[in-house]
Amino acid sequence: MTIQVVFQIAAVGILVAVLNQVLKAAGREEQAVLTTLAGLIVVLFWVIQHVSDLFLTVQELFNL
Amino acid sequence: MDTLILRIAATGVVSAFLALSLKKDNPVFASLIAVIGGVLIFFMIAPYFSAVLSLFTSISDNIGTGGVYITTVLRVIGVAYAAEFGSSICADAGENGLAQKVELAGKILILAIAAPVILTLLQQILTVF
Amino acid sequence: MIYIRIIGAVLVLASCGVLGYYYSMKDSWRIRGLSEMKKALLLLEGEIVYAHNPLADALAKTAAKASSPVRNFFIIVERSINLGFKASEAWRDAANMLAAHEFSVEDVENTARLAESIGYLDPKTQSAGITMLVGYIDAQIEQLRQSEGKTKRLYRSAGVIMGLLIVTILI
Repeated sequence: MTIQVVFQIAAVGILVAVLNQVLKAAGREEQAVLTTLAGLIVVLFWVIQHVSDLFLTVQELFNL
Repeated sequence: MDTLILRIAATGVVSAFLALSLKKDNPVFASLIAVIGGVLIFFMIAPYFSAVLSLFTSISDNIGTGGVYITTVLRVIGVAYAAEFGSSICADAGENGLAQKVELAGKILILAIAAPVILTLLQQILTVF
Repeated sequence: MIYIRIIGAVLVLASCGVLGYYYSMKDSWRIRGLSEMKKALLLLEGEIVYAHNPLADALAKTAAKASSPVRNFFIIVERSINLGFKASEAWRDAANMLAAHEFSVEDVENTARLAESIGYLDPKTQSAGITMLVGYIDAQIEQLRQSEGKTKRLYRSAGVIMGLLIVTILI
Protein backbone atom coordinates (compact mmCIF):
# COMPACT_ATOMS: atom_id res chain seq x y z
CA MET A 1 0.00 0.00 0.00
CA THR A 2 2.84 2.41 -0.74
CA ILE A 3 3.26 5.01 -3.45
CA GLN A 4 5.01 2.31 -5.49
CA VAL A 5 1.67 1.14 -6.88
CA VAL A 6 1.08 4.55 -8.47
CA PHE A 7 4.49 4.40 -10.13
CA GLN A 8 3.88 0.86 -11.34
CA ILE A 9 0.61 1.84 -12.96
CA ALA A 10 2.17 4.93 -14.51
CA ALA A 11 5.07 2.87 -15.88
CA VAL A 12 2.70 0.30 -17.39
CA GLY A 13 0.65 3.11 -18.91
CA ILE A 14 3.65 4.80 -20.51
CA LEU A 15 5.16 1.56 -21.81
CA VAL A 16 1.83 0.47 -23.29
CA ALA A 17 1.51 3.85 -25.02
CA VAL A 18 5.02 3.55 -26.49
CA LEU A 19 4.40 -0.05 -27.60
CA ASN A 20 1.17 1.17 -29.21
CA GLN A 21 3.06 3.75 -31.26
CA VAL A 22 5.73 1.26 -32.34
CA LEU A 23 3.16 -1.33 -33.42
CA LYS A 24 1.05 1.24 -35.24
CA ALA A 25 4.12 2.53 -37.08
CA ALA A 26 4.86 -1.02 -38.25
CA GLY A 27 1.29 -1.34 -39.43
CA ARG A 28 0.09 -3.89 -36.90
CA GLU A 29 -2.91 -2.08 -35.48
CA GLU A 30 -4.69 -5.18 -34.18
CA GLN A 31 -1.76 -6.16 -32.00
CA ALA A 32 -1.60 -2.59 -30.69
CA VAL A 33 -5.20 -2.84 -29.55
CA LEU A 34 -4.49 -6.21 -27.95
CA THR A 35 -1.51 -4.96 -25.96
CA THR A 36 -3.47 -1.95 -24.71
CA LEU A 37 -6.21 -4.27 -23.58
CA ALA A 38 -3.73 -6.60 -21.86
CA GLY A 39 -2.10 -3.70 -20.00
CA LEU A 40 -5.53 -2.46 -18.99
CA ILE A 41 -6.48 -5.85 -17.57
CA VAL A 42 -3.29 -6.08 -15.53
CA VAL A 43 -3.76 -2.57 -14.11
CA LEU A 44 -7.44 -3.17 -13.39
CA PHE A 45 -6.41 -6.26 -11.48
CA TRP A 46 -4.30 -4.12 -9.13
CA VAL A 47 -6.83 -1.29 -8.86
CA ILE A 48 -9.72 -3.61 -8.06
CA GLN A 49 -7.72 -5.23 -5.29
CA HIS A 50 -6.99 -1.86 -3.70
CA VAL A 51 -10.51 -0.52 -4.09
CA SER A 52 -11.98 -3.66 -2.55
CA ASP A 53 -9.60 -3.21 0.41
CA LEU A 54 -10.82 0.37 0.67
CA PHE A 55 -14.48 -0.56 0.75
CA LEU A 56 -13.93 -3.34 3.27
CA THR A 57 -12.14 -0.89 5.55
CA VAL A 58 -14.92 1.68 5.15
CA GLN A 59 -17.45 -1.00 6.04
CA GLU A 60 -15.52 -1.91 9.18
CA LEU A 61 -14.94 1.68 10.27
CA PHE A 62 -18.53 2.87 9.97
CA ASN A 63 -20.27 -0.34 11.02
CA LEU A 64 -22.22 -0.40 7.82
CA MET B 1 1.60 13.33 12.37
CA ASP B 2 3.29 16.45 11.01
CA THR B 3 4.96 14.71 8.12
CA LEU B 4 1.76 12.83 7.34
CA ILE B 5 0.02 15.79 5.74
CA LEU B 6 3.13 16.42 3.69
CA ARG B 7 3.16 12.84 2.49
CA ILE B 8 -0.52 13.00 1.66
CA ALA B 9 -0.07 16.23 -0.29
CA ALA B 10 2.92 14.77 -2.09
CA THR B 11 0.96 11.64 -3.01
CA GLY B 12 -1.83 13.79 -4.39
CA VAL B 13 0.49 15.99 -6.42
CA VAL B 14 2.50 13.08 -7.83
CA SER B 15 -0.64 11.17 -8.79
CA ALA B 16 -2.12 14.26 -10.41
CA PHE B 17 0.93 14.90 -12.58
CA LEU B 18 1.36 11.26 -13.55
CA ALA B 19 -2.32 11.13 -14.51
CA LEU B 20 -1.90 14.34 -16.51
CA SER B 21 1.03 12.93 -18.47
CA LEU B 22 -0.99 9.87 -19.42
CA LYS B 23 -4.25 11.64 -20.17
CA LYS B 24 -3.58 12.19 -23.84
CA ASP B 25 -2.39 8.71 -24.84
CA ASN B 26 -4.39 6.45 -22.55
CA PRO B 27 -7.07 8.42 -20.71
CA VAL B 28 -8.12 5.16 -19.04
CA PHE B 29 -4.81 4.82 -17.25
CA ALA B 30 -4.98 8.44 -16.14
CA SER B 31 -8.31 7.85 -14.38
CA LEU B 32 -6.99 4.65 -12.80
CA ILE B 33 -3.97 6.51 -11.42
CA ALA B 34 -6.30 9.10 -9.92
CA VAL B 35 -8.39 6.34 -8.32
CA ILE B 36 -5.37 4.64 -6.81
CA GLY B 37 -4.07 7.96 -5.52
CA GLY B 38 -7.37 8.54 -3.73
CA VAL B 39 -7.31 5.04 -2.24
CA LEU B 40 -3.74 5.53 -1.02
CA ILE B 41 -4.60 8.83 0.66
CA PHE B 42 -7.55 7.23 2.42
CA PHE B 43 -5.38 4.46 3.76
CA MET B 44 -2.88 6.99 5.00
CA ILE B 45 -5.44 8.68 7.23
CA ALA B 46 -7.44 5.53 8.07
CA PRO B 47 -5.91 5.11 11.56
CA TYR B 48 -6.79 8.71 12.43
CA PHE B 49 -10.27 8.15 11.07
CA SER B 50 -10.86 5.28 13.43
CA ALA B 51 -9.42 7.34 16.31
CA VAL B 52 -11.89 10.15 15.65
CA LEU B 53 -14.81 7.72 15.33
CA SER B 54 -13.99 5.95 18.57
CA LEU B 55 -13.88 9.42 20.19
CA PHE B 56 -17.45 10.01 19.02
CA THR B 57 -18.61 6.62 20.27
CA SER B 58 -17.07 7.24 23.71
CA ILE B 59 -18.82 10.63 23.85
CA SER B 60 -22.11 8.93 23.01
CA ASP B 61 -21.51 6.34 25.72
CA ASN B 62 -21.03 9.09 28.23
CA ILE B 63 -24.23 10.79 27.18
CA GLY B 64 -26.17 7.61 27.80
CA THR B 65 -29.63 7.73 26.26
CA GLY B 66 -28.78 8.87 22.75
CA GLY B 67 -26.51 5.91 21.97
CA VAL B 68 -28.43 4.63 18.97
CA TYR B 69 -28.37 8.02 17.31
CA ILE B 70 -24.61 8.17 17.21
CA THR B 71 -24.39 4.84 15.39
CA THR B 72 -26.98 6.11 12.92
CA VAL B 73 -24.92 9.24 12.31
CA LEU B 74 -21.82 7.11 11.79
CA ARG B 75 -23.56 4.91 9.28
CA VAL B 76 -24.87 7.93 7.43
CA ILE B 77 -21.34 9.36 7.24
CA GLY B 78 -20.07 6.01 5.93
CA VAL B 79 -22.73 5.86 3.22
CA ALA B 80 -22.01 9.47 2.28
CA TYR B 81 -18.29 8.79 1.96
CA ALA B 82 -18.73 5.68 -0.18
CA ALA B 83 -21.29 7.39 -2.43
CA GLU B 84 -19.06 10.44 -2.88
CA PHE B 85 -16.05 8.25 -3.70
CA GLY B 86 -17.92 6.26 -6.33
CA SER B 87 -19.57 9.32 -7.83
CA SER B 88 -16.34 11.29 -8.12
CA ILE B 89 -14.60 8.38 -9.89
CA CYS B 90 -17.46 8.21 -12.40
CA ALA B 91 -17.35 11.96 -12.92
CA ASP B 92 -13.56 11.86 -13.41
CA ALA B 93 -14.05 9.22 -16.07
CA GLY B 94 -16.46 11.52 -17.85
CA GLU B 95 -19.66 9.64 -16.98
CA ASN B 96 -21.56 12.43 -15.27
CA GLY B 97 -24.87 10.62 -15.60
CA LEU B 98 -23.56 7.62 -13.70
CA ALA B 99 -22.08 9.92 -11.08
CA GLN B 100 -25.45 11.56 -10.48
CA LYS B 101 -27.13 8.18 -10.16
CA VAL B 102 -24.61 6.99 -7.57
CA GLU B 103 -25.19 10.17 -5.58
CA LEU B 104 -28.93 9.72 -5.81
CA ALA B 105 -28.61 6.16 -4.54
CA GLY B 106 -26.52 7.43 -1.65
CA LYS B 107 -29.13 10.03 -0.73
CA ILE B 108 -31.94 7.52 -0.77
CA LEU B 109 -29.98 5.07 1.37
CA ILE B 110 -29.18 7.82 3.87
CA LEU B 111 -32.89 8.62 4.12
CA ALA B 112 -33.62 4.93 4.66
CA ILE B 113 -31.03 4.70 7.44
CA ALA B 114 -32.17 7.89 9.09
CA ALA B 115 -35.89 7.12 8.78
CA PRO B 116 -36.37 5.65 12.27
CA VAL B 117 -34.61 8.67 13.84
CA ILE B 118 -36.79 11.07 11.90
CA LEU B 119 -39.90 9.15 12.92
CA THR B 120 -38.89 9.26 16.57
CA LEU B 121 -38.19 12.97 16.28
CA LEU B 122 -41.61 13.61 14.74
CA GLN B 123 -43.30 11.58 17.47
CA GLN B 124 -41.49 13.61 20.14
CA ILE B 125 -42.56 16.83 18.50
CA LEU B 126 -46.17 15.61 18.24
CA THR B 127 -46.27 14.52 21.89
CA VAL B 128 -45.26 18.02 22.91
CA PHE B 129 -48.19 19.42 20.99
CA MET C 1 17.18 -9.21 -0.84
CA ILE C 2 17.08 -6.15 -3.05
CA TYR C 3 20.17 -7.37 -4.94
CA ILE C 4 18.45 -10.56 -6.05
CA ARG C 5 15.56 -8.50 -7.37
CA ILE C 6 17.89 -6.21 -9.30
CA ILE C 7 19.77 -9.16 -10.79
CA GLY C 8 16.50 -10.83 -11.75
CA ALA C 9 15.19 -7.66 -13.35
CA VAL C 10 18.41 -7.17 -15.33
CA LEU C 11 18.30 -10.80 -16.47
CA VAL C 12 14.70 -10.52 -17.67
CA LEU C 13 15.43 -7.25 -19.44
CA ALA C 14 18.58 -8.59 -21.11
CA SER C 15 16.92 -11.79 -22.28
CA CYS C 16 13.95 -9.96 -23.77
CA GLY C 17 16.29 -7.56 -25.52
CA VAL C 18 18.32 -10.42 -26.96
CA LEU C 19 15.15 -12.20 -28.11
CA GLY C 20 13.98 -9.05 -29.84
CA TYR C 21 17.38 -8.60 -31.48
CA TYR C 22 17.41 -12.22 -32.67
CA TYR C 23 14.01 -11.94 -34.29
CA SER C 24 14.99 -8.67 -35.90
CA MET C 25 18.00 -10.32 -37.57
CA LYS C 26 15.96 -13.24 -38.93
CA ASP C 27 14.96 -11.31 -42.05
CA SER C 28 18.54 -10.30 -42.79
CA TRP C 29 19.68 -13.89 -42.48
CA ARG C 30 16.94 -14.99 -44.81
CA ILE C 31 18.00 -12.46 -47.43
CA ARG C 32 21.56 -13.68 -47.21
CA GLY C 33 20.56 -17.35 -47.46
CA LEU C 34 18.26 -16.69 -50.38
CA SER C 35 20.86 -14.78 -52.41
CA GLU C 36 23.45 -17.50 -51.75
CA MET C 37 20.95 -20.07 -52.93
CA LYS C 38 20.27 -18.02 -56.07
CA LYS C 39 23.97 -17.80 -56.93
CA ALA C 40 24.42 -21.52 -56.42
CA LEU C 41 21.35 -22.35 -58.50
CA LEU C 42 22.60 -20.25 -61.40
CA LEU C 43 25.94 -22.04 -61.20
CA LEU C 44 24.14 -25.37 -61.21
CA GLU C 45 22.09 -24.32 -64.20
CA GLY C 46 25.26 -23.40 -66.03
CA GLU C 47 26.85 -26.75 -65.21
CA ILE C 48 23.83 -28.71 -66.38
CA VAL C 49 22.92 -26.79 -69.52
CA TYR C 50 26.24 -25.61 -70.92
CA ALA C 51 28.81 -28.04 -69.59
CA HIS C 52 26.40 -31.00 -69.87
CA ASN C 53 28.00 -32.51 -66.79
CA PRO C 54 26.44 -35.51 -65.06
CA LEU C 55 24.43 -34.45 -62.05
CA ALA C 56 26.85 -35.60 -59.34
CA ASP C 57 29.74 -33.69 -60.91
CA ALA C 58 27.62 -30.60 -61.45
CA LEU C 59 26.57 -30.67 -57.81
CA ALA C 60 30.14 -31.16 -56.58
CA LYS C 61 31.39 -28.24 -58.68
CA THR C 62 28.56 -26.03 -57.44
CA ALA C 63 29.21 -27.01 -53.83
CA ALA C 64 32.88 -26.11 -54.24
CA LYS C 65 32.00 -22.57 -55.35
CA ALA C 66 29.10 -22.01 -52.94
CA SER C 67 29.52 -20.80 -49.39
CA SER C 68 28.42 -21.99 -46.02
CA PRO C 69 24.70 -22.55 -45.63
CA VAL C 70 24.03 -23.56 -49.20
CA ARG C 71 27.24 -25.53 -49.67
CA ASN C 72 26.19 -28.21 -47.17
CA PHE C 73 22.93 -28.61 -49.02
CA PHE C 74 24.64 -29.37 -52.31
CA ILE C 75 27.21 -31.64 -50.66
CA ILE C 76 24.43 -33.66 -49.04
CA VAL C 77 22.59 -34.07 -52.34
CA GLU C 78 25.75 -35.11 -54.13
CA ARG C 79 26.64 -37.67 -51.46
CA SER C 80 23.16 -39.12 -51.47
CA ILE C 81 23.28 -39.53 -55.24
CA ASN C 82 26.69 -41.19 -55.04
CA LEU C 83 25.26 -43.56 -52.45
CA GLY C 84 22.66 -44.60 -54.95
CA PHE C 85 19.56 -42.63 -54.04
CA LYS C 86 17.38 -41.28 -56.81
CA ALA C 87 18.15 -37.65 -57.63
CA SER C 88 14.66 -36.35 -56.86
CA GLU C 89 14.53 -38.09 -53.47
CA ALA C 90 18.01 -36.88 -52.57
CA TRP C 91 17.13 -33.31 -53.50
CA ARG C 92 13.84 -33.37 -51.60
CA ASP C 93 15.34 -34.83 -48.43
CA ALA C 94 18.23 -32.40 -48.46
CA ALA C 95 15.82 -29.51 -49.01
CA ASN C 96 13.82 -30.55 -45.95
CA MET C 97 17.00 -30.40 -43.94
CA LEU C 98 17.64 -26.75 -44.83
CA ALA C 99 18.32 -24.74 -41.73
CA ALA C 100 15.05 -23.49 -40.28
CA HIS C 101 16.47 -20.26 -38.96
CA GLU C 102 17.73 -19.11 -42.32
CA PHE C 103 14.97 -20.14 -44.70
CA SER C 104 11.25 -19.94 -44.26
CA VAL C 105 8.82 -22.82 -44.76
CA GLU C 106 7.82 -21.47 -48.16
CA ASP C 107 11.43 -21.38 -49.32
CA VAL C 108 11.96 -25.00 -48.32
CA GLU C 109 8.78 -26.08 -50.11
CA ASN C 110 9.65 -24.33 -53.33
CA THR C 111 13.18 -25.69 -53.28
CA ALA C 112 11.85 -29.19 -52.70
CA ARG C 113 9.55 -28.75 -55.69
CA LEU C 114 12.61 -28.57 -57.93
CA ALA C 115 13.21 -32.23 -57.05
CA GLU C 116 10.75 -33.29 -59.69
CA SER C 117 12.79 -32.04 -62.64
CA ILE C 118 16.33 -32.20 -61.34
CA GLY C 119 18.68 -34.75 -62.93
CA TYR C 120 15.70 -36.38 -64.57
CA LEU C 121 14.36 -34.63 -67.63
CA ASP C 122 16.30 -32.93 -70.41
CA PRO C 123 18.52 -29.93 -69.67
CA LYS C 124 16.01 -27.46 -71.09
CA THR C 125 13.27 -28.49 -68.66
CA GLN C 126 15.70 -28.56 -65.76
CA SER C 127 16.83 -25.09 -66.70
CA ALA C 128 13.22 -23.90 -66.81
CA GLY C 129 12.61 -25.32 -63.32
CA ILE C 130 15.72 -23.64 -61.99
CA THR C 131 14.76 -20.35 -63.61
CA MET C 132 11.36 -20.55 -61.94
CA LEU C 133 12.93 -21.08 -58.52
CA VAL C 134 15.36 -18.21 -59.13
CA GLY C 135 12.42 -16.00 -60.07
CA TYR C 136 10.65 -16.89 -56.83
CA ILE C 137 13.82 -16.11 -54.86
CA ASP C 138 14.14 -12.73 -56.58
CA ALA C 139 10.58 -11.80 -55.69
CA GLN C 140 11.10 -12.82 -52.06
CA ILE C 141 14.33 -10.83 -51.81
CA GLU C 142 12.60 -7.77 -53.22
CA GLN C 143 9.77 -8.09 -50.69
CA LEU C 144 12.17 -8.62 -47.82
CA ARG C 145 14.36 -5.66 -48.82
CA GLN C 146 11.34 -3.38 -48.66
CA SER C 147 10.05 -4.49 -45.30
CA GLU C 148 13.45 -5.18 -43.76
CA GLY C 149 14.12 -1.84 -42.10
CA LYS C 150 10.67 -1.59 -40.54
CA THR C 151 10.46 -5.10 -39.11
CA LYS C 152 13.98 -4.84 -37.73
CA ARG C 153 13.15 -1.71 -35.73
CA LEU C 154 9.81 -3.13 -34.66
CA TYR C 155 11.17 -6.36 -33.23
CA ARG C 156 14.11 -4.69 -31.49
CA SER C 157 12.06 -2.01 -29.75
CA ALA C 158 9.16 -4.38 -29.04
CA GLY C 159 11.60 -6.77 -27.36
CA VAL C 160 13.01 -4.13 -25.02
CA ILE C 161 9.58 -2.72 -24.21
CA MET C 162 8.13 -6.13 -23.39
CA GLY C 163 11.10 -6.74 -21.12
CA LEU C 164 10.45 -3.49 -19.29
CA LEU C 165 6.76 -4.33 -19.00
CA ILE C 166 7.46 -7.72 -17.48
CA VAL C 167 9.90 -6.20 -14.99
CA THR C 168 7.39 -3.49 -14.02
CA ILE C 169 4.51 -5.90 -13.57
CA LEU C 170 6.47 -8.39 -11.52
CA ILE C 171 8.57 -5.98 -9.52
